Amino acid sequence: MSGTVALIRDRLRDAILSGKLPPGQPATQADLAERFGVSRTPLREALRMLELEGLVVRGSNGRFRISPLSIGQIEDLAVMRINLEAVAVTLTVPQFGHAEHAKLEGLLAQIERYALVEDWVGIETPHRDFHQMLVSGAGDRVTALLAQLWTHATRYRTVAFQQLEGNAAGWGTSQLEHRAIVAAYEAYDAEMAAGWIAAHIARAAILVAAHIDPDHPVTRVHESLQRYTGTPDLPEVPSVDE
Amino acid sequence: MSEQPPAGPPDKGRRNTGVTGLRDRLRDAIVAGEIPANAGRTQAQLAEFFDVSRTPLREALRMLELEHLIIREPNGRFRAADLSADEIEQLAVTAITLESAAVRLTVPDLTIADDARLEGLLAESLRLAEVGEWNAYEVPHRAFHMLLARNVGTMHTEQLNRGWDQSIRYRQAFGRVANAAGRDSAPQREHREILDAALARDADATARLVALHHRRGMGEIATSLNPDYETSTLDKTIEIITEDHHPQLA
Repeated sequence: MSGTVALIRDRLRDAILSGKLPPGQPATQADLAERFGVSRTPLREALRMLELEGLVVRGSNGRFRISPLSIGQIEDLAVMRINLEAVAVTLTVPQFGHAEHAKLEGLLAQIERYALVEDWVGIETPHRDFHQMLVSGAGDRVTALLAQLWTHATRYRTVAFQQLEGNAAGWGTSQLEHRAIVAAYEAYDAEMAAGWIAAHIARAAILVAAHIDPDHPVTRVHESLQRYTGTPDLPEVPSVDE
Repeated sequence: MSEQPPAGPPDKGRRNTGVTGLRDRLRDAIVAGEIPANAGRTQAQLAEFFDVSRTPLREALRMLELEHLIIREPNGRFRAADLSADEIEQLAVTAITLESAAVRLTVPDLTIADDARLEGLLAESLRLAEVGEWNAYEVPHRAFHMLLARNVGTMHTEQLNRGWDQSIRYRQAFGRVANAAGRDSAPQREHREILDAALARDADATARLVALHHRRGMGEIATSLNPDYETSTLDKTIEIITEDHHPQLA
């Protein structure tokens, strides 16, 4: 049996990440209690837990609302992910052999297939599996944390791919970076793999941040990128023949 | 170790009856070694020990299971999760990476008041270390580390706190062993070096010293749990976190 508070928290989290509870919307306890068919006491506790996760915020009047998509949160997530994934990737590269490389190629082929038929929901599964596999050598605790950050980034990724440059173009760039990452794994070049993963995460963050507020540069994302690529600027998208 | 639950809840004075409050009390009890890893407790024993009803207890136990702090045995009893070199290594990789990133962002932003508070926390922890008050020591110690990492968003702070919650029982368990042998002063010396670098507003040096501090401390714990423990993963982590990288991206 799973707990009430944890259960309510998980349901609320799903609703927020999927956009059913849109960013910025007030989350009054009466509304939510009715909507989810739960009582107020566990609900309040679940909201407090989600506040710590950064998914709801409490105003000065004490009322909760769904966290708006914010530049601060984009930077926060990107800084954590760039640094942790660079380490996790570096630890994973030397552990892989032919079987793992083949599996990565397989996941890329799946992503390609979904992109071809423009199934932007289906594509999420191989995409998540691909990224999880890239960090799998860092141990289950690190992988679990990265999976959690991935889930949080979903809110932003949705904006990046579905509202901005159009899904097909967005996935095209993404897929070229995925290929560069796999090439680095196959060449056992951990530094190159870490550089591309940093660039891949940074590009998405910079894109979404520019959409939310073009006047607010995400300096921290550029600084983190620099640590793993030697330059604060995004690299050119790799060429297709690579 | 007795099979009987110890008498009385650890802190009857605190009246946070919510599930999260109970979870925190359970976590404290695990950290203090009051719920042992080698003897399972039934829910009834735990309910009596903490003086709570079964429903919130079940839920708090479930949360701690997800945090990997508590193990549900096949017979339905609960025990503290074993300490392992593998787990502390992973906690170290996360702490080294996330905390040094946060420190790097915080140091340029420190104020004179922050400097004074950091000096105060260091003096306080030094004093508590001298008299061997290791439980009390953890309060200024944690505040010192968190203040040096304060300039990041809610999510990053939450991860730092969660990592700290999970590694604290390792430090406490290791401390119980180290106290018997006489603790060395390496951590205190390192804290002083960290603070000096921060006062000089050298963000890279501070971040590097914090990384090395965690690497030494958590590496020692891993070695105490497994004498054959290999430090290569931690060394690799330090390397990638503290050095500049210039791969030629196409």
